[in-house]
Amino acid sequence: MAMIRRLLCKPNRWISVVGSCLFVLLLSGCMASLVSDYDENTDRAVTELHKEFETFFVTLKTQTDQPDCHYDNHKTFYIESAVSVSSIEIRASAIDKNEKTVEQIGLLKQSMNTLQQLHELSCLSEGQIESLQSSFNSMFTAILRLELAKKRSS
Amino acid sequence: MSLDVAELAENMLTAFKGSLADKWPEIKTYAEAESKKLAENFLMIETLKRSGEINEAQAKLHHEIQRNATRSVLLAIEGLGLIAVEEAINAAMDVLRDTVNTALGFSLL
Repeated sequence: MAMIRRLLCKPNRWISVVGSCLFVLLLSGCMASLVSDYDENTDRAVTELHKEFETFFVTLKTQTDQPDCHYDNHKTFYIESAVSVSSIEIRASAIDKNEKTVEQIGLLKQSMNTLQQLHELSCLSEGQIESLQSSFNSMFTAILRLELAKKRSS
Repeated sequence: MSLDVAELAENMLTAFKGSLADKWPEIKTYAEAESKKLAENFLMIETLKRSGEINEAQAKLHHEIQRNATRSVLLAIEGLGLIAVEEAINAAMDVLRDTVNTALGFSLL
């Protein structure tokens, strides 16, 4: 009571305390969060999918001009990777403030379909594989780069 | 101690700028390296087309993948930028928290 009386007698101090309280109300729980937190499962699943892609490209490089290079011999890879990317996409979509990662995964999924169309047309030459490997590596690196940056900022 | 708004704003701005400046070189290095790789790959697709190793339809599909890779890198850069801004805002908020707590004489924030 004595403290309140002292505050009421000094208007400037009163204003300062009220102002500070308003600051508190305004700022409590207001730490900026513009991007989702790091997700270990996304990191692990994308890294795993990248490994499968690397294995696929390395295998294809050894098969150029051989009957094994045809699409039909690699159907399993396309089916399994489609399942993996869909699963990653579903998880990423369920995370709040994760739009950029979701869009990146969508682009990866789209590119996988395009890769499949390319392979269905004919066996891939060494030059084509080099180019595709570079593009997919850029996509995987971009997804992981962003995910790991979230880890540092968490 | 009372709050000096001008000094507080200046300190918050310094913390904000400092945090952003710390992050920017890292983002710039990544953007530069990826831009170089993407440009080289674009050239590779053109070479494959000119040499007849791939036809028009195949080149179109290669370009689609390449475009998606470029977009994905840009999204990563955007995201890294957002994280840098987020950290800069929080660094400024830390200054505000410290100043307010000091002014009040106890840990309120």
